[in-house]
Amino acid sequence: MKGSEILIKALEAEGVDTIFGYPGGAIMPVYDALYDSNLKHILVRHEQSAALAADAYSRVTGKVGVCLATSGPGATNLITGIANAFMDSIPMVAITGQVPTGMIGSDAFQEVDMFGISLPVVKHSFLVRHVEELADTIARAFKIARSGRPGPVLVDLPKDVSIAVFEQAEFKGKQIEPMPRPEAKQLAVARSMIQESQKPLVYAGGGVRIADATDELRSFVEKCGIPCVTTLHGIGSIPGDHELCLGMLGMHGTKHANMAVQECDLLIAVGARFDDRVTGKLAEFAPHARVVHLDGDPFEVSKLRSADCGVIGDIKTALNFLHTQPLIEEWVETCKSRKQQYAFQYDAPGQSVYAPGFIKQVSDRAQAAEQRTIVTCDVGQHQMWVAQHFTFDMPNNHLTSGGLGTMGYGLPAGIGAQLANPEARVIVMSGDGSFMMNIQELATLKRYNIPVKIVLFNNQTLGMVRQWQELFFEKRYSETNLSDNPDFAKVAEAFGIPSMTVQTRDEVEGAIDRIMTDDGPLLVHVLIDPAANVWPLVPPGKNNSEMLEEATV
Amino acid sequence: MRFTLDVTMANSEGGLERLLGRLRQRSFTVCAINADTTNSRMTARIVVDSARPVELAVKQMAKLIDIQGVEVIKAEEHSGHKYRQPTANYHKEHFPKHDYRHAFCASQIGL
Ligand SMILES: Cc1ncc(C[n+]2csc(CCOP(=O)(O)OP(=O)(O)O)c2C)c(N)n1
Repeated sequence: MKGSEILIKALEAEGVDTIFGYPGGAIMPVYDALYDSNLKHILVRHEQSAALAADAYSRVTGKVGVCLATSGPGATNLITGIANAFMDSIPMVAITGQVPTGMIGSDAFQEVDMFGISLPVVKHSFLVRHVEELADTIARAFKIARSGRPGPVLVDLPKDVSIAVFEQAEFKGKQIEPMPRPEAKQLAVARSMIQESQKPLVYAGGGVRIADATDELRSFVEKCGIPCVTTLHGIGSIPGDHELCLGMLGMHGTKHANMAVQECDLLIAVGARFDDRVTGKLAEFAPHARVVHLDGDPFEVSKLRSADCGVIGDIKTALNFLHTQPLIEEWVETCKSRKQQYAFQYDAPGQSVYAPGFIKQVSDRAQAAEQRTIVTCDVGQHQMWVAQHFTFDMPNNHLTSGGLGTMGYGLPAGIGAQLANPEARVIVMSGDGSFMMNIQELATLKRYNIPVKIVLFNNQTLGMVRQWQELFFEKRYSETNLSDNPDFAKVAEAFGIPSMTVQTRDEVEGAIDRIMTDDGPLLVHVLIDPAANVWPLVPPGKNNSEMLEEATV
Repeated sequence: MRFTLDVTMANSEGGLERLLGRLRQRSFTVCAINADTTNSRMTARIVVDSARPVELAVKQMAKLIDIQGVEVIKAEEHSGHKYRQPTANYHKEHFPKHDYRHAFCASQIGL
């Protein structure tokens, strides 16, 4: 068997069925082997999209995502997608072609030191120097990617290794290292801290999704009756409309969520990492709280905020053990009444389309539908509006680039998500800046007739940056004007994707009808007010009780 | 502060580079290094300088797949004043597989 065939067999042994990639010289032997294989290969139009689509495929299926690129520029184009997976702890194996081993280090055509370039953004990496190691290396790469805190693993494959022959390759099949059980002693301490608390609050992060612990989180929250706030990646780990869910905390969190955090006496962090977008000024974050920190990654506990009790290991087991009923009626009532008091309003004046209202309407329709809806986002104001106004009931129905904040994530992620779940309604919510970063993937939608619905909020500006310029840079709008955008509806049509433009509120309902019922791909181009901002907002470096609101600015 | 660390790791491609990159990125300047390989293992004595707590370096190194053990053997201020030895040592054999649960409880390291 040739190395390239060993690679395909090794991928199949890992349960891989779909890979995303783009061919080129050094990876040609692998593409040749793919030609006869049962693996489904999705040809994207830029390698970055291959990695981002593989990332989304992984989030939706729970499997390891796989992307493939050639050496040199193909490999470097993957980097942003790999870094995205690294920051969001997504299991991924990225396979790159490399020049033949004898030529490595000679500045050969399309040689880059991909191993070296990728070091800071991978969980681990391999350069396969001998065909005899290949099957085992692939097995190790998958095991590392999916074990512990997941992440991307690079396998750099020189061309001579992929054409070399080896007949004794062995394929082990899926391996994973189980999460350790949390320590009984720490659990007991945590439970008594919860029992004694008067104002406890659950702060749920992306670790809940990673640990597949949504059921356990919900029964913990319900049994204990403790209110819950979520991070951007924790959204959906408790249903957005659950009576104990206070919504997202942090920079663009809800007022009631941030108030609860600032007042609580016990913060139960579940798979959360005290990111600066969440905490604001760290020293003043949850100033009255003791902290119980549950995490699968031992190195997250006490990284930024010292935990009074760190519970390390399997989050599911931990949550199941912590059921107890603290006496907190008054606190819960305060949280609930604030939630009503500060609920978002959708009665913005004027006739132009109000993006939060549009998103809320899509959300209401999605909730009423039987079909699963998955939303992928780009980065910017629209991303925060989705986080604030779309009600999610599962974390992996909300695909967003939280750690790296990668503009251009939305469309490739939509492609990955739809291929991962062909039955779901997949909606990409994008902005005019972000959409241009991977607009070429409209061709991928067309090629495979992937029925992704794109909602493109066009405010003719890099909205989130413009908002900061308005608020923190004296309205000096440096290089954020995009009023010379192309006509996106026409662009979509040129790619063979049906499209429509929405300019006024009375056109919204018809557009949402199509989003919810059309069978094929669709682009809905929504013109919105360039001056619209995301509220509320905790200014950078401030503490979470210093929120700016529309009315006060 | 200046810290002397003894590191044991698998002798794998790029292992030392990965380790040094991680230290640099987390703001630990390498002042001296002495490394050796025996069969499949590499041992390194590294002196690092940083304003950040040494526990951060130990944690970040321990996250790397190749690392088998990290021991802080000396901690001193630039004046040469010696500090009590920090307790954030890490040994994979004490924490089989991914089980590092005893390693870094806040009570132990007080970050
Ligand atoms: C690749 C990349 N480049 C730059 C940024 C910085 N950035 C964050 S939000 C933003 C504006 C996004 O504009 P748009 O996609 O139109 O969304 P809007 O904020 O208008 O909703 C920029 C430039 C980024 N996150 N990613």
